[in-house]
Amino acid sequence: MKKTTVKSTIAIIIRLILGFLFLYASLDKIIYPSKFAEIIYNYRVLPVELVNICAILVPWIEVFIGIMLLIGIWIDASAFMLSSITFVFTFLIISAIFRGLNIECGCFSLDAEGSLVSWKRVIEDIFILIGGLYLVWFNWKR
Amino acid sequence: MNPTNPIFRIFYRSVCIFMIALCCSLLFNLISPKGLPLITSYRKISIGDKTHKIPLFQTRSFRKDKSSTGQVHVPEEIQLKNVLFHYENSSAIFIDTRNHEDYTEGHIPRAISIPLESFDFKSEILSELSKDQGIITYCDGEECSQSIDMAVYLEELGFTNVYFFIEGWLEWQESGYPISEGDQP
Repeated sequence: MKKTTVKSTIAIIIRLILGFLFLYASLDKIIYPSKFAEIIYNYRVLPVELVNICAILVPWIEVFIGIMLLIGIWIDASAFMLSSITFVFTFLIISAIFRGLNIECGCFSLDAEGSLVSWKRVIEDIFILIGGLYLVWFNWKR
Repeated sequence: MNPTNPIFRIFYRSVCIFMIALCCSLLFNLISPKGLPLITSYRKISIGDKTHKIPLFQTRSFRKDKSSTGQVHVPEEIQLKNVLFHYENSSAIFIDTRNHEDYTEGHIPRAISIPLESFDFKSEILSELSKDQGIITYCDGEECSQSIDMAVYLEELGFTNVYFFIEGWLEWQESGYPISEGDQP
């Protein structure tokens, strides 16, 4: 197999995995916005007044990133947004760990069991971030 | 700017995706029965020199129903000696807002465990209580704010006799008052 074919196959696999992941991650947040707002508030980084608008907007950004990656439109921008948003999430989780906050992560499902902020979540996010950056790089001049 | 420049292209497309997401989110929030007010509503509670903003993550429909029920009460702080009085006379219900693990390790006898993170505005336990039932909420101590948050939530549900015990579990324990262990009140 040619080197370029291998690279594009990897890019397609990463794109589909990340697309599905982001679409899945957005579902609970859209269904239970007040629960997601509470999770955002618990990170104690945003002014109280802005928590709701974030809880309303962020899941829909994830939806569109997911859809774009799955159907393969504007992959560069979707991957860029995915990387940016994942970078912010990772930073927030690390900051919560260092501040000793034992709070729900709000990463994928909003179920309290097993989704608390932890280094495991940080590692997951770093993998997602690497995948996102790979897609940005791969689609940079396409 | 050159439209073939990758930086410009990614920036332009990202802004488009953001704007589409913004429009869809606002529209969905508007028509959804679980839609939230755009600006988070909160209650201000003063304790000493500090003012706490306690957010109320309730749907618009919930707030609309509530606004027709009339007067809003503000929860008050309660001191240890009064907490003890209510404990000895069984004149108030205690709500432990810490997580289940901490509750199991030790709590005020007869206290119900309702961790703040799993608080449900439609909780069955609460719906069985009379609205003028005396309720005292507590968490670990002055460092935590769950007791205040819970007190505000209870007032929002229409309870008129709610107090938060800010010194909480630490002071109760240090004072040598009775404690219970295990997951039962």
